[in-house]
Formats: sequence, C-alpha cells, structure tokens
Amino acid sequence: MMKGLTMAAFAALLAGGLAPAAAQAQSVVEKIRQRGYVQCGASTGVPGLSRADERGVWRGIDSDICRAAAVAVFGDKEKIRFTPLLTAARLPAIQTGEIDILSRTTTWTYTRDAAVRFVAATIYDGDAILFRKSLNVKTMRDFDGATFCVTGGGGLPAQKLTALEAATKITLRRVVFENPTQARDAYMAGRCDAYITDGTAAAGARATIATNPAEHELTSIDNRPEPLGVAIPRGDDRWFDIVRWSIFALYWAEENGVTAANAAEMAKSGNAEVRRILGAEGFGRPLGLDDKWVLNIITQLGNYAEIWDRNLGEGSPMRLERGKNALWRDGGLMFSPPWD
Amino acid sequence: MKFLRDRRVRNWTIQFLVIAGMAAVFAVIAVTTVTNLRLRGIPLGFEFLSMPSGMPIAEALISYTPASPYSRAILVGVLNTVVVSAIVIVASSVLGLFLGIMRLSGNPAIAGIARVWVEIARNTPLIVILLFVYGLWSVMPGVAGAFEPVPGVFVSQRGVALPAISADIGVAPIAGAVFALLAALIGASRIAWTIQMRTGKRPPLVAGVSMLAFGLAIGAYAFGWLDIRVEWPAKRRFNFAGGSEISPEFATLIVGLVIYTTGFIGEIARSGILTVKKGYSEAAASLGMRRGQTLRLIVVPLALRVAVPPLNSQYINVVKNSTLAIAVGYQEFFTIAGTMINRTSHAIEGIVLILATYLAVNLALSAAMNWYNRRIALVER
Repeated sequence: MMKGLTMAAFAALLAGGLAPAAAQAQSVVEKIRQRGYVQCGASTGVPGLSRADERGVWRGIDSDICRAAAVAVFGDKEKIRFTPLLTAARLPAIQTGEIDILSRTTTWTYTRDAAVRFVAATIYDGDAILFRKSLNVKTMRDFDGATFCVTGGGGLPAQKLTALEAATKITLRRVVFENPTQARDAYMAGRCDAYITDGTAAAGARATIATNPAEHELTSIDNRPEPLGVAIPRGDDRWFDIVRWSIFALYWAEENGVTAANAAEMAKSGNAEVRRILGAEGFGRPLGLDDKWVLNIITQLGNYAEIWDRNLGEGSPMRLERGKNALWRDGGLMFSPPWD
Repeated sequence: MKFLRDRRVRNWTIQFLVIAGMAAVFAVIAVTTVTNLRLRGIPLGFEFLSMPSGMPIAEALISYTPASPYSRAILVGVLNTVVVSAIVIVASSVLGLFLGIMRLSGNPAIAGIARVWVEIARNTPLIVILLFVYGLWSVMPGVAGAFEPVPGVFVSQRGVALPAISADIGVAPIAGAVFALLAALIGASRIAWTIQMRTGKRPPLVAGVSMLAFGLAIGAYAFGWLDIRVEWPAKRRFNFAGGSEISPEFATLIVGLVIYTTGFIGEIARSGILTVKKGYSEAAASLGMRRGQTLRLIVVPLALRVAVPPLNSQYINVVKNSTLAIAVGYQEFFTIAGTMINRTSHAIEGIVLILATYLAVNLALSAAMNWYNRRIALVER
C-alpha cells in the first residue's frame, strides 16, 4: 500500500515536472489569443518612449508600437498589459516567455539577436551627452577629468565613452548605475558633470525631468544611427510576421497619407493599393489576422508621424526633430517593404 | 513481510526513498530546463567568461579595463563585496558593543540615544536608509565650494578627497615588517603573561615592543631610508585630482550598512551582557577590579558565549545585504554579475555563479565563526 502511494506520488511529480515542457510547444500567438491580451515589456519610466502617466496609462512611442501589435491581433489597443523591466531583466524576460514583445530602448546587436529575435528598428537614435551649460564645454576635449553618470547594464553609450577617451586622449571618470533612470537622477542631483545615454532619452530627461531645461545642453558624440528595436521570443515565425508588419504598417500609412482621422474614408475612396491594404476581402489571411487589421491600427493609433509627434515631436515637451527617423523621401531611414 | 517490521530496515528504507525522491525532483528540473533551453535555442556553458566584458567599473581594487574578460570583472566584484562586508562587520561589531553597553547605562540620556538608534535601524528597511544617506550627498557643496573640515580633506558632492601617503617600498618588505611586528607583539604578550603568572606583576613588554617599532620607523624616516611622500588633493575644473578619494557610493553603502547592522548587533550585545549574572560583576568588584576591568575581563568574555551564534547570522546578513549596493550605484559582485547576465544573456549560468559565490563566502564566514564559537565555548570539566 505504502509503495503504491509512493509510486503515485512519483508519477504525479514527474507529470508535474514535465508539464511545463509540453506547454512550451504552444506558439506565442496561440498563447496571446488564449490569454486575451499582449504582454509588453516596458522601461521603468523614460519620458516619450515608455512611461506610465499619472493615471497609470503607458505613454510613449515604444508603448504605442506594442499597442500596434495588440491591435493587429485583437483589433483593440486596450488589449495590452505592460511590465516595467529593469535593464538587466529585459532580455531574460523575453527568453523565459514572461513577455511577448519587448519595446524598450533596446539596441539591436549581434549577441542580443542570437539570444532573442529582433523584429525591426523602430527608432534610429544616437548617443548624446547631457551636461550643464555652466561647465562651458566647447569641444569633447574640454570634458577631460569630468565625471559621467553612465548605465552599466545597457552599455553601448558607455562603450562610446571609452572610444572617445582613446580618440581624444582625455580621461573621464564614471559612476555606473544599474538603470538609466538612476543615472539620470544622479546627474540631475549634481553627482556627475554629464550624463550619457540614447539621444531621445537625453532629450526627454532635459525637457521633462530637469527643473530648468535651459541650464542643460545636449551634444551628440557621433552621427552614426543606433537602431533601437523591438524584440520577441525565438521560435514563433507567425508572431514575428505580425509584429514586423504591424510596424511596417505605420511607415506605409505615413507614406501614403493615411492618418487616424482619414483612414476609414481612405479605405473606401483611396487608390486600389490603399483600399486593398485597408481591408480588402482576404487581406489578413496570410497572417491569420482580421482583414481590417491595418485599418484598425491606423484608426486607433495613427501612423508613424502621428505617433512620433504626440510622444517625441511637436505635440510633446521634447519637440524632437525627426532626423534619421523621417521617411526615406524626407532624408530619413524609415521605409516599408512592398505590400504585394 | 516480517523484515518490514524491523525498525532499522524501515528507517533506512524511508531515508532512501526521501533521498531518491529529492534526487528525482532535481533531475526532473534539470532535464526540463535543459530541454526547454534547447527548444528555444539558448546555449548553456561558461565559455563566455573569457570574453572581453566591455563593461565599465568605476571602483576596482585590481587593475581592470572594459577590455578585461568577464572573469576579471567578476573577481573585481567579489573583492568589492568582501571589502565592503569586512569593513561593515568590523565597524558594526565595535559600534554594536558600545551601543549594547550604552543601552544598559544608568544615564537616561545615553540609554535613550542608544534606544533611538536601535529602533531606527530595526524598523526602517535598509534600502530606505541607503537612499536617505545617498540623498544627503546631493545637498553637499560642489567641487568649487568643497567643505574642508581638516586641512587637505575636502567633502563635496563628489565624495571625500584625502591626502594620499605613498612610499617607494615594495609590498614584500612592508608585509615582512608587519608580520615581524605582529610576531614580536604576540611573543611579548606571551612572555609578559608567563612572568605575571609567576610573580603576579605584568612587565610592560607589549608597550616596550610597540615603542621600539615606532622609534625604528621614525628613525628610518629621519635618516632618509624611507621615502614617504604625501600627495595632496588639488581642485581641478571638474573634480579633485591627486590624493585619494572615497566615492559617495562607497561611503553611502558603508555608512548605511553600519547604521543598520549596528542596531541589530547592539541588541545582541545587550542580550549577551544581560545573561551575565550580577553576582559575577559584584564578585569582580569585591576582588578589587575596576569597572572597566570587570567589563573587559569578566562580562564581555562571558557575554560573547551567548552572542556569537546570533552574531554569525548578522555577519552573513551583512554579506547578503551588500547586494543593495545596486540601489546607490556602487558596483559589487551582484551588480556586476547582473550586468554580465544582461550583456551575455547567460542568465542561468549567471544565477548559478551568484548563488555559488554567496554560498562560498557565507560558508567560509560561518566556518570561521563556528571555529571561534567552539574556542570560547564554556569548557565543561
């Protein structure tokens, strides 16, 4: 009798232990549909990119990109939940499947792409140094001996500093923080002479965190575009397609003059290609989505230009130029592959 | 089925089943993990440790650059953790002993101060103490208006700048001199004790050896055999240059941990002292011992017997609490390992490394404390 019980307990243990292995076989899209919402990895609060406002609603271009994927699957931008992630936790969160999509100022790199699946670049950023005007810095050489607040976790801007030291033969000091908000706040408190981070984050910090934005100056280290991308777990090609083309839809809509206000109208009166993409019979079938999925994204969120303007551009305190994030025809790097 | 009634057989069978069951659980976890990792295309292995880390570390005790491998970064982190823990353990043990004595003081002001300290330390989360202390640095003056409490010492938002003393002597002669001095002091103390046992008078041998060593050092300096230089910190455009420096992050971590740990050790010291019966102190007093002597020779050694086991757990807590350095920007082992995980995506190996390292450090600490505990335990005859 005892023996029988023990065996039963073992069998249960084995079954319990192996069950998660079986559940992994379920695809990300199936998991999302079953759950009823998309789980999006966000930052711990970077203005203009992803930051919860006073009512707890996530605002920012990174958050809106996540919403586009949610609209594609569910036709509803509210079917999303955000997980604020520290820099060190963001990649493991994708690898373990805790989140379905990471849209959080993550630079697309070789080693990271081998660990997760980068889908597309959503912002081309460059590293920028934020410093106080009172320091009277004219050239990079004037930073000799200065203390920089940097982030150890992400690391790319910090590597730029090392390169800058080598190139200009100056010595910099560093205070290394775990996440960008800590480094930013330490700079604002006067712990450091300068703060180095992604250009958009630096502009956001100056515009919304600094008590007096006019005291601070921004300078970029080099003009090379740094792609900040969206990443998903490996192993579900369908989810990859949905996220990737949800992003391309934003560029396509801007290029074709489709906006939140006129999308419904354009779906009826636009040219043949516009009418097809905005909901022709069978258009969503290749991705297993609703035929009106692109229309839904644009009516609920707007095109890339609208998303940019309200989060980082004219409609925001940052008032950032589009720069490299403009469409190809305006001298930027953004374009959508053909929708044939 | 008769053998089942044999108690020894039954005991062994149950033990075997429990151990086999636990082994099976761990095996299932391991197999599931490895299978799932393979499914997701996540490679396992520690080869990444030899890759260049590329991560900046602000404070390292050994030479380190971002071009150094991850293993070197980890070593820098472990050393930082050990140094912080060691300083905090020594400082809060000394302060804690005084705090415990203060709490038992008949003077209500002294006992009150000690009580306030203990209550603050015990009822405030450590992270709040750390963030509070770190916040104090932002109200310090900038480098230009640095506050100079003692000539050559500057306190500013950038930390504490101190004069540095450097001597052009190798490490070996210094280590040799320190070792010789220690040996001489221990020898002198032994001889003094033997003489005291025989004659009842303790010759001042230890003080003699100390003065001799001090005299030798002064003499060597006066004759120019020792090349000792003092480097003073100087104000530059952004920071102090020259001299040595205590960063706000390091200072915050030490001060915060000491405030917190001292509160707990103070209570351990108080409980230890309270277990020493009043009769012992009275007996010591009737033998003509002064109050300080009674405390040092009778009360504290007896109190230690009670205090050492709980002290052991406090010391281990110090090592674990030092991981909160992450909140104030000081890079110790845990922070560096976290960054490594983020950069390499080797989360499982990283966590294993973190667990193994803290286990090793704390087991070593525990072993030392247990050895000490056995040494001072009451010898029963």
